[in-house]
Amino acid sequence: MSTKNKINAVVRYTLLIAVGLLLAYPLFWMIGSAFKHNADIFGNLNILPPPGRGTTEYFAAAWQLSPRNTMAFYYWNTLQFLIPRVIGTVISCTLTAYAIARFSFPGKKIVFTIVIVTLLMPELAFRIPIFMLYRDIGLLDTFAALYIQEFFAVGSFFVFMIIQFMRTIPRELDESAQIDGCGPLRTLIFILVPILRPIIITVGLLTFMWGMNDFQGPLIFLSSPENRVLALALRGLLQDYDVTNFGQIFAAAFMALIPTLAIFFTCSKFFVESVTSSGGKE
Amino acid sequence: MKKYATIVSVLLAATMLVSACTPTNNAAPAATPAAPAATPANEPAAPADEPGEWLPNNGNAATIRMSWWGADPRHEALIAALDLYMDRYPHITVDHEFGAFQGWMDNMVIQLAGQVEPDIMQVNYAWVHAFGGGTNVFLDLNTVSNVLDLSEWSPELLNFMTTADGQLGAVPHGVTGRVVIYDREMLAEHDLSSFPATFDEWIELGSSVSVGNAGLDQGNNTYAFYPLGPETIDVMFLQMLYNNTGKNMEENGQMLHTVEEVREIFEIIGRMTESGAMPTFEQQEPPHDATNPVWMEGRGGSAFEWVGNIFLAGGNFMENDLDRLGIANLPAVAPGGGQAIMQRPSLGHAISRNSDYPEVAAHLLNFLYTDEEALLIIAHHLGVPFSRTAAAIAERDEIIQGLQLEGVDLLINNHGIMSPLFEDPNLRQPRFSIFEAFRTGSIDAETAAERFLSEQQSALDNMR
Amino acid sequence: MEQPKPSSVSVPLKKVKRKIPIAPFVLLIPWFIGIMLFRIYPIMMSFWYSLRDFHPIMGDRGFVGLDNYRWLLFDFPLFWRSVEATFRYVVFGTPMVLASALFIAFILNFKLKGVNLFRTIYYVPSILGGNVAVSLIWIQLFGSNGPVNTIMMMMGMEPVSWLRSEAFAPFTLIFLSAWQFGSVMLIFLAALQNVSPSLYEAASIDGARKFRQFISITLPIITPVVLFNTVNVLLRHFQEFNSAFLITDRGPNDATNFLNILIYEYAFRRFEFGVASAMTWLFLAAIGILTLILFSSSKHWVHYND
Repeated sequence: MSTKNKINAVVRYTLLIAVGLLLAYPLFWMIGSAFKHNADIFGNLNILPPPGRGTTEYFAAAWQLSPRNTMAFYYWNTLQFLIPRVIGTVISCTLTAYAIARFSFPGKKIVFTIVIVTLLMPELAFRIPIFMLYRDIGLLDTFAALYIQEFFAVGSFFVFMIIQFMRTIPRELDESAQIDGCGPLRTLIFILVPILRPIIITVGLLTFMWGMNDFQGPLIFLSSPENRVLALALRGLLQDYDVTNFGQIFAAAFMALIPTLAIFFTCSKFFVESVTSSGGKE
Repeated sequence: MKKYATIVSVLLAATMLVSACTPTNNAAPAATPAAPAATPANEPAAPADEPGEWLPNNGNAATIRMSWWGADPRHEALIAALDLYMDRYPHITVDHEFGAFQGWMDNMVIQLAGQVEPDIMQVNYAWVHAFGGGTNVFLDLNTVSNVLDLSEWSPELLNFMTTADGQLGAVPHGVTGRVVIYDREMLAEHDLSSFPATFDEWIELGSSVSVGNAGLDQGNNTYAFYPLGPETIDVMFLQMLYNNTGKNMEENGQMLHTVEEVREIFEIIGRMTESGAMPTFEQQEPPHDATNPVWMEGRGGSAFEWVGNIFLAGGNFMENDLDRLGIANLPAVAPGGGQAIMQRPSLGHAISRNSDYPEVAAHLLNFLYTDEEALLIIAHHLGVPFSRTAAAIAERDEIIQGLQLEGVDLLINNHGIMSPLFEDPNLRQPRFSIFEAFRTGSIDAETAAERFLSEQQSALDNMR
Repeated sequence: MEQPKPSSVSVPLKKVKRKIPIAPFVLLIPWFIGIMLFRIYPIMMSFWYSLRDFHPIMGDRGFVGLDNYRWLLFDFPLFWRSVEATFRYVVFGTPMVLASALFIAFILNFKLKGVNLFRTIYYVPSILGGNVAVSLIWIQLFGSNGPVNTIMMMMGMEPVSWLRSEAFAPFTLIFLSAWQFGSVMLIFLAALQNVSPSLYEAASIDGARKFRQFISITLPIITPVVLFNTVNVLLRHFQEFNSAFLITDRGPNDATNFLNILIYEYAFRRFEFGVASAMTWLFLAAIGILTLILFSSSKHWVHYND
């Protein structure tokens, strides 16, 4: 390696590390500030509280996220719509992608076009009529309002992602399975799903993590405090007359991000790969 | 003795307020004589319900829901009162939901639109009229008057909650208005013995308080006045306008002021900001309520708050240093000018049209408004009560005290009228936009005044 | 709406021709129900509402023709203000995300040790960015006394009001969007790694020339991915809701009152379903036109080599 290359490498690493620090700073600052009193949070860049002034008292206050309910309650409410949503998305999107990627049938082009067009349309465009629909069938203010449609493959993005992945699997595999007498569903379950595992896990995880971020949906479809999910409860912190310590806000924000972060870091290998490949082939 | 007199006059004030507010009555501030409201205020309340006499839902099990907004003390008090009701009537279950005020209206409108609203709802005065565009969207409470004793309220007070179609949308809990809560130490530091009586004096105080302030609030700025949210400036503005001209915001759907009259108030707001008495728009960062650090750290000088919120705002001031706080009326625009306080019913209670058990809901409401034990639990946590039994008990047990009592005194002695439309979102949203545009300097006082009149007028026109 | 060229479907499947199979139709039943019930029915209803004065509390007040559209376009300045705010966000935000993503991908594409670690770390903001918790942090980060202003003062600059000034507030949100460039970057990186090294490892050259080479040789090869990312990022910016709703509360002076929020306001705060639906259709039309322009212009700058 020449000196020039070494210098180049140093420049690159410095740049990468600097950008990494810049990106990570808000998160570390959040974590650090959760251990600080109001006076120590602003006017400096420190992540750690001043020596001897750190405190963990705000975590207890943040855990009691609303007067009557703890964070556990809101995690649980969030899971009540997220788990069915993940299951629905994974199953229905896989079936749909399988049909589109592996069969030729009349109208297939139209189906694929609809998938792409709905991919481009904002969710909000459908919200008003769906609100009225849910009202008429009594789904408003229930968790089902936040997951029922996911059982019907409306997550076009995921359908698209799985199609892309399936294209990389040689067709000979399912053809030979069919010759062995496997029906289409058995072929999917026993031959393809094992190979699709990484993308299926990715779809599940992304659904989960995006669902943690979903704010507009709960805002519209869940109205009673009993059904409040984490995103809504966190927003309540901005409006609460009783929250007077910023440490409490940071602690709550930190705890709210823990599930996402934990899942991400345990499974990052999976989906950094999968996300990478999703757009790669156009 | 003073307390006794206070409560009686509170009730009188309520009726005065209402009679002055009938659409045909062109009321001048502080000019209405004590109205001949002969509601017997201090008669001991009749025991409203005797267990066994009338059982909700004929003694069959029923579950109803009640919702309210507020802060912790209110939540605790109401939950205890509901528990009491369930002890008394074990076959009835009352679920409850509550939260902070901000965002509550959004949530409630969504519930109403989705027909998933609770059986009993705490409502704001304006919502009774605004949600249905003049027609009632709640249960007409006249239909449950067999269970809910409407004689608890003066007819005038009920009239407030009666919509254009003649239905009673809610029962009001009390009457409220905004007063100044100020830091006595700020006055002492600037050698003042009492809170400024005019805006000029306030501005003068402000310019010495704010010496040394930075352009942006970096945690050290001090002010003579800190608005704890956009509503503060809105109410203040309309009250100033009213006191300076004797004219309410609108009457019969017509804006009444001239551009000059409105511009004058904008100019005063402008001077408040320029002098540093009040923060600029940029200096005022979220949170826009009493949890704002400027207020909590005692750098705000004063705030302009609902009488019902005095303890809430005071509780956050220097960790509840109530001794440092005083109560005053909003200064007059000009020396000797009117100092009426614009008042409106505080919160009310409505029953859902879609309720399966409207009579049970009405019965619970009646309990909350008339049962002595319940009233003692609720105490002042819903504000100052104006219904007969509740007021009598509040008076007897001296429930309204300290700063809040001072605030009520001010309300009574300076009653003014608020247009029932003042909190209507269709009118309020444009006003907020204009205030924001003016405070950020993107329009001047003249333009602001013109826009104020024309946009409010067109909002009024769209309503009919 | 014309079909926006899904190039991937045009590859014919080499399957033995036989009679029409039943399996795919059975497999597509859930999708079909979903598309009818949750996409096509709502979008038709939305058009129906847009021609009416419909209020779920006060009831249906009748057919009004194109009045809602006319009112929005000609009598409702806030609508245009909102269009302006949305476009400002899109126009500044999209290139910022794309450029940072492409640049970092370019650097990571050098064979460096620890690329995986960097990829993972850079990706984290993408999955957190939309979370309400992050909005809470952003408010504090950009507060007048927050770290961002502290840094500016350390560098001798005047602090600014990132949340309450019309000039800066949109950028507070744009920075939050740029912070989430990671997922876009990963897709660029994958595309770059697919580019045959023989094309540009011809000689060891310095960074500046390498960058020029990157622009002139590598970039054209990955233009399909550039298109893909552009459409994605553009749509994401058009639909931004959380940050403007929570961090700047649409202000100041509606500088961050994006269309998505205005529609929400009219739909679920005021329940003017007619107006909100008309706005939705105008919004859809704008997105549709932009996407069409992008796809049709792509003939001139996107190079497909397969």
